[in-house]
Amino acid sequence: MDNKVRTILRCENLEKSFGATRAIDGCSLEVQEATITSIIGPNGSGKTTLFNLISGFTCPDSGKIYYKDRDITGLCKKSKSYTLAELGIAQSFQLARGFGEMTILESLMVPPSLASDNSLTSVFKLLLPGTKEVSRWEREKKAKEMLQELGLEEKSADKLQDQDVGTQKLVELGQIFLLGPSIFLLDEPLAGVSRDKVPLLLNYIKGLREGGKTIVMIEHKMEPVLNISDIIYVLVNGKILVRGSPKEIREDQRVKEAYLGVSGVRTE
Amino acid sequence: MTVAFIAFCLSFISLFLIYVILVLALNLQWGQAGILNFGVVGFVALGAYITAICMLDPSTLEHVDVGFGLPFPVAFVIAIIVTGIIAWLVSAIVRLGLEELAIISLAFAEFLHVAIANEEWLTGGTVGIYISSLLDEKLDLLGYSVVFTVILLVAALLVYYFTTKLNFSQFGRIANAIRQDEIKAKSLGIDTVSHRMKIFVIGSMIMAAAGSLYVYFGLRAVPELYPVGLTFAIWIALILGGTGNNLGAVLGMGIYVLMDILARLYLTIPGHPEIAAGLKFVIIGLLLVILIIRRPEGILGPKRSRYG
Repeated sequence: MDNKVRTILRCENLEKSFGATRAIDGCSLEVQEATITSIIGPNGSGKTTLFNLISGFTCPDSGKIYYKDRDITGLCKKSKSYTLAELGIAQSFQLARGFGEMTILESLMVPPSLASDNSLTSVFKLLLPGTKEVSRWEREKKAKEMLQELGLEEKSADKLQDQDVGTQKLVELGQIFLLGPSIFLLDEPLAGVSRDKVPLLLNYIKGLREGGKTIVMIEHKMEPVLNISDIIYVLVNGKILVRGSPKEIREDQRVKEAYLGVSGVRTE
Repeated sequence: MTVAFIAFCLSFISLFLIYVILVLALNLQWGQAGILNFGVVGFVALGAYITAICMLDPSTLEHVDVGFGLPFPVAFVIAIIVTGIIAWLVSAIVRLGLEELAIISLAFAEFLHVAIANEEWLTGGTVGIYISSLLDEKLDLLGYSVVFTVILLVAALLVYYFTTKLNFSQFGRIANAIRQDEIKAKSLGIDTVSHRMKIFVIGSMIMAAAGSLYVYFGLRAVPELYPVGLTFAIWIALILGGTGNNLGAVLGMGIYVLMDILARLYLTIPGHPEIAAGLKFVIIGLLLVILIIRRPEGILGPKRSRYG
């Protein structure tokens, strides 16, 4: 790796137990800026837990998380986790979460959350007659562009809750793309997404990397992972088994045994 | 039609308009942001008593020890601001966990009710505070009723305009998002706790404004005007008309008030007036049960944003 490349995210010896289960058992990882890092591993190996620790939705039992050399471990408390998204770490969920009663277009108008829209002064300005929300047009425009990018224009006025899982997933990704954090934590971004949309998403993710963004993703579809990742971590039983380039992972005997197993490469 | 009858009708319309302001404020809190406020009447009473104490002429003090003799507009603003601060304190105690706030707001209203009835030096106890206004001295009964109905109509329209605009703004959209999935909202960088607190405070300030107008309109603040039942009347009207829909909230309030009037006029059981009074609530309860089974979203469905 080039020396100029900066480490943007560093986890040291993370541990997390749920009751007697050690979900994360001493994980350390480093993520370089403007790269795609993938985390793979069998079901139940702790990938999503690891994500939840990084995004602050769960607190680690021990260990440290650094973002741009700043210790962010303490931001995981219940009421503070939103600050991580403000700092620039945002997560998409494995099972798409969203605001089901909103239309798809409006769902995409929620992010980003700007202080100017949430201040009390902006609220009382609404009292003045004739005040137009300038940001609304801007938001609507951006949301429509995103819809076009995701190929969802014709569904823009439909309620999110009436959509299939794949569409909900696309909308969730659209929201996080519009939020525009520095680090995208994508939990199985391709799961449930219809086959014809997969190349589109992969291109978008690659585009983000070219734009200097960092992507960390969990994914079960091995072919795309091996194609677009710069670094792959293999997580087994809460421990990092191997770290390497896609080529190294493909050839690693331990990975084949632990993850790919006898059933071969999983392509879903 | 006699003057007295017209004045009687106008007083009902005025009361309806005050209730409309309250139901719109509750729709902002519950309908848009999902905040359970079971202390509506507490914030109304707070606005009312602060106004009354501010306006009470210190030279005519009898059973109350505090009065400032301020004109109504000043008292109105003070009532709203002080209530806003108190609402912020109430919500800050529990950092607005929703279930906790439901209980705290109910307890707050109960506490206030007891305090008002007992702190005679400040509130006049069960006797209450009686104030006079310039308008009252200059106008006759009919003129007074007309002027007040117009003032309240303007106030209700203003609140309708403001809450609708607020609900449809980015501020309201975020409130709606938080109501639907708080974890998701947080993951998008939204400070959900502080946003909800802001909405709770704004809603409570609107409720205080209604209470303040109620005092100016009735020229008195007495505990029995603020029974706990008022909170639930507002809730019933909102659920009836359509949670998350300002027009529905107004409609629900209209139906509730109309039923209340009709029950008072026609629901009589000769020889058993106490049963008739109870029967009103039985009918409203039955209506609510049928509605929740047949049409849980209320008469008008939700309309929380301009996007459908």
